[in-house]
Amino acid sequence: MSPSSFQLPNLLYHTVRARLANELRLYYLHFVWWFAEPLLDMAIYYVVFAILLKQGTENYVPFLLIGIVFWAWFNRSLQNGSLSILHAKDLMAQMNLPKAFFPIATVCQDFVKQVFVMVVLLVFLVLYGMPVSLSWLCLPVLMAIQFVFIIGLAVFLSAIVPFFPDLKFIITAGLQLMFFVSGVFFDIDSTVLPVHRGIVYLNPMAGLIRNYRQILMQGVWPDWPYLLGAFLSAALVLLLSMLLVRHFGHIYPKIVI
Amino acid sequence: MSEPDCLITFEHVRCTYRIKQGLLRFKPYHALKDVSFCVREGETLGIIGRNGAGKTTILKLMSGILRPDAGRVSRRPGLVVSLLSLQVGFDPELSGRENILLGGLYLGISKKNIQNRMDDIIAFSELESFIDNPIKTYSSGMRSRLGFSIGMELAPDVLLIDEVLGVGDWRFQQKASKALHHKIGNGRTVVLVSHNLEQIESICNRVVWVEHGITQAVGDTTDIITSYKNCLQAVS
Repeated sequence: MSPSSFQLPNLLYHTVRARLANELRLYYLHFVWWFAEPLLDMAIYYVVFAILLKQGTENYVPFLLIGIVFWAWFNRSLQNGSLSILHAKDLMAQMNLPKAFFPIATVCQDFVKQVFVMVVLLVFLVLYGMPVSLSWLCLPVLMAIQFVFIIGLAVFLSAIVPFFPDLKFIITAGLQLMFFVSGVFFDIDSTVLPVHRGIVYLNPMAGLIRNYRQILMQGVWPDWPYLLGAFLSAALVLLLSMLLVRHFGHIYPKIVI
Repeated sequence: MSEPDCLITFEHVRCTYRIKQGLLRFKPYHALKDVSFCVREGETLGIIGRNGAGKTTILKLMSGILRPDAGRVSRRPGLVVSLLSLQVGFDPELSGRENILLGGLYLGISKKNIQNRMDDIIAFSELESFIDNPIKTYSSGMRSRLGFSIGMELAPDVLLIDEVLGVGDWRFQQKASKALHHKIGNGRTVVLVSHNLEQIESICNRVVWVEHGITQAVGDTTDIITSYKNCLQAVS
């Protein structure tokens, strides 16, 4: 009647695979857009901040690109993930599935795209002349932490959006605010006052982006204590969100909007 | 109420939808208020009642999609129940073939098993030339044919059918009806929701009559259909 937990990974794999294949089939330029989008974003920020506002530091292009690529992953996954249970209305009316399946499938779909973008980012960094160092090996660790953080938030938001669909506007605004304080296009350590820095780094995205730059541009090992803290809080958010979505799971098919 | 050969038992079941009204306000809609009956192994049970009586909600409770707000729905452990509804189509962007695979996996059937049955499902649905197109390009008749074929071929323990026999053209209807009779003949348990009383009379052993979310009567097909018809005539 419903898939056993043993079958869920299989179901997840086939759902994500079919959706991605379909995306590519529908828009043959889609694949190009996966890479072109961050590059376009980077061009815009480069013109505005490096040229017009004269904010550019040394190696501003890779600095900006790293910030944008990891921010865009976070932003896209949450925009899509937060609406996933709401959009699964028709399927929920036909099938009895654990509801966390929907945000997790959406986040995994975006993750696969991110892996392709990552490869291009690394090739770009090498071509740009960034020194390849051992610290690059930490990249999967940082991405794993960001992945857990994204799933936790996406499950949480998707669990509450069906009750208040208007929240999607607030989520968009919240993500915009978070974008400005995550240091995507500026260096927090040299821009933000020391008294405020502690608060800014409470946002895991600010700390993760700083660490991505540290390992990819400067060849410096990441700030392990900070990453451990970020991982533990992300795991806690994920755990609480899973409990929340389990608690509300049987209510979603009864909501009529 | 709990008889030994019952596969699914409803005991004073209430089920309420929440209709969104304002930012934080939801208006309750009591689709079912007090429904009690049981589905026996191997029988064909009809559910009748006027529009809005709660028939589809009953099927959703049987398949576990909805949970009752009060009362109890108990199912025999390990039972595979599948709901055939007219709107079947799990993801409109994906092809018919992908929908068969996902549909089967959602039902808890193994991938190997689904792939073994894939050709039969496609053949039964007669959608060979469309099967690799996204199902959003299908007509409603084609979608229903696909849904019906998935439910039929993937052989669950209890088949729930929601008005799906009016599927497709006349010829497909005959074929669907024949396939259904075959399942019934093989001792498959079937629950059928329909407004077609002749059809109910021809295939159902027993009938549940629901009105305004309350069970009016449960029992022998002919008796209940007679009183249902009398009631409808009295109203009009």
